[in-house]
Amino acid sequence: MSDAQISAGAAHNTQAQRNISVITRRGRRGKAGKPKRGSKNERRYGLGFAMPFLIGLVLFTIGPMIASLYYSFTDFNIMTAPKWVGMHNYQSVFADPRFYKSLENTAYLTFIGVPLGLAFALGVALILNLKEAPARGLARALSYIPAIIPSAVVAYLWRWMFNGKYGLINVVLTKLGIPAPNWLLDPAWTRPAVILISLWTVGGTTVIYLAALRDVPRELMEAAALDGCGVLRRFRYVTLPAIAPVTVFQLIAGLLGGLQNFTIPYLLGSGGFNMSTGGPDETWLTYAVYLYQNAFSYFKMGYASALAWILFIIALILTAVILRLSKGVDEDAAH
Amino acid sequence: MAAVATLASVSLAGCAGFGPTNTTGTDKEGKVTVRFSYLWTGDEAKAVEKIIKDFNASQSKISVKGTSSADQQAQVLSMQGKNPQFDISNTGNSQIVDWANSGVLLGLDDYIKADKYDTSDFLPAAIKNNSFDSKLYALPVAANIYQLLYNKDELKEAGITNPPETFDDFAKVIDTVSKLNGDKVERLGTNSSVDLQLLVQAYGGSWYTEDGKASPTNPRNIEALNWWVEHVVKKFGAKNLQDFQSGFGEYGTAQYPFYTGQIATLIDGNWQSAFIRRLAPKLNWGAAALPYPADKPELRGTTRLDLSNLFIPKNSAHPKEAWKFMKYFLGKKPMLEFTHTLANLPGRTSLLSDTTYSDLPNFDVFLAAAKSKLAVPSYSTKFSTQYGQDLSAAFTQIQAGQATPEQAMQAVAEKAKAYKQ
Repeated sequence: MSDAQISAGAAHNTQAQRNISVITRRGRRGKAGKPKRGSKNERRYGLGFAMPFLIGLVLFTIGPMIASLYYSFTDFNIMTAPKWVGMHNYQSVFADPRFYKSLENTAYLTFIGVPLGLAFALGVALILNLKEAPARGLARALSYIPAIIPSAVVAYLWRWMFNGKYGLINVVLTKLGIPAPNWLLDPAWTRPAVILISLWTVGGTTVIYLAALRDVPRELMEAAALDGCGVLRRFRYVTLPAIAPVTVFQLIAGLLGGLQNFTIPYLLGSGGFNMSTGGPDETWLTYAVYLYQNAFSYFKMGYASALAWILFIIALILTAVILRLSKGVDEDAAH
Repeated sequence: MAAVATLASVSLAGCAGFGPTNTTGTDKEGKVTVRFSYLWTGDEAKAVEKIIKDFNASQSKISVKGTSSADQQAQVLSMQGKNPQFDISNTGNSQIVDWANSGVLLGLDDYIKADKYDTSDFLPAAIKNNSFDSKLYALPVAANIYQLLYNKDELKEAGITNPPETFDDFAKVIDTVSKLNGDKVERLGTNSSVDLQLLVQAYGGSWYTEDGKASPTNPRNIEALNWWVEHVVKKFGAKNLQDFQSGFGEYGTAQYPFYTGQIATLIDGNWQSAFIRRLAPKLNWGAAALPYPADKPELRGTTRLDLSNLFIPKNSAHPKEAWKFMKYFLGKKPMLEFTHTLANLPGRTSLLSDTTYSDLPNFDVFLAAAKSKLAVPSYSTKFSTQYGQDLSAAFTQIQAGQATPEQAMQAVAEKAKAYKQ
């Protein structure tokens, strides 16, 4: 029996109650069947320990967010005091073709790149989870290494890999007789290039999936095998539902990360002195890069703040939709 | 949430000022410490540090501490905080008017008047660029200018002994010097990713109206861009040019296409004298004025002048001492030494004829070009950066054959309606 099950409180289990009283600091015993609420002192202690985080949250997150909301209604270039302009920034954003271009690029990288990344990570995790996989430990380490390489290094490395004539990717493709695209100059291939780079760095997701695969009930897999289910059916009807909560979490985290996709597109399109060109046909102009341009290249802080708040609302809506669609995933997985 | 919070944090940090800083500004010897934060890096930063060292050794009241920081955002944030991070710094030409208008720059007129400092020797175009509301806010320590560089051997191979003068000559060079293998471009008579903004200016176009508004659809601009499309993009094919360009080495490396002979001409700046000497010493190259349109010979000598200006922020803790250091750096000897090391042009007209630069190959062409009245900095406005990026995106579309010059420039004109004037 796990600790979680014990601490949840077995209503009619005296043994469980005795364990709860051992776990609690003062050994107090509550009414039979009900865990007792913490005392005032305990709450004070809890608040005290949480205070550093709460202070940080207010000072460095909530406070600046409120300031940013105010700036979004002003014309503010850092050098002079903000000037109130009401909804002007928001109106300008919705009339700005670059806003839609950056949204389109971000949507492309997010809604194609993230699911692909999850599928790829799961595939790698399945292979690494096989008992027959050779040198499993080494393979796991190697699969994780790209995830810990700094993004700036990754960007510059892949700039060379994707070089149209001399890059490793095109040299191999040409040898195999496959047409080698112009990854960094052809607008049709610049975004797939970014997705390919992101697939190379799925090590973190792979490790999480590996842990999730370990928790897939063995008895269910054995029962399914005994019932005549093949590998694919066991994967579809046992493995996938068992790791569904992890997938939902990874999907939300991935989509939120995708909406803020910045480093690789920025560096690939870098033009020096804190500027990014946005790449060929502005295909590397993601929402985050455009927000950055407005804030730190054009010094239009008010406009950039409006962009930031619109992104925040988009992220909230997206998260709510995913959570709603995945409602019951936890319960289904438990059954 | 992260974007929102980060943006506001940075803004607030700028508003509140950030430190800690030495507000007394004196070192243990009692000298006033002047902090000089500069954008130069690498070997250029070493040249700056030498000037600082010489200044510090030349007097006993001020100690200048230099910091190399190529971060313009940090520069801007520091200037509007209560606790400045520097007392003197440098920047290009496009920020001066905007910063002066925003009130973050210290006007130099009072110091100039008090010291009877002679500014008549500085490049006239620089004085004009660095003035706002009849006040001077910065002075140039160095300048850069753009000319047409050409590979003498490759032009000779094609039977051309002199560099092109007019755009018609240039078209002929592109046509005869370029080499094709079927459809594949093996050598190009020009740089396929040429600075179209400058080329259009040389053709007689203008990106701004007289009163400083964006004018991308100026008919001469469209004509110049159509010239490029006809003689380069359509002639060789956008896809072929893209494939050709995909194998280019990085700028500033020995594999750069002008050094390897992949391109026969290049529009670039005077620093190439030092670059080519270091990276491609065997290259037989020359420099000449940018081509001019045959129907407008009066435009011969048109080019862009980029300035490296020294300025003092309004919140400088030691403006008087910073001014003293500025005067030293702008002196003939330090300026000559500094610009010679960087292969930059001097900010003083009297130094344009100095023979110290004679060891830099073809540098005399750049020095002579700086004397032209048509060598001017690009117009400086609040929206210059954004305008530049919009034009750059439009040029990419033209180069890729995705839009005609008319369509691309019209799109920029639409975006320009939203620019902060």
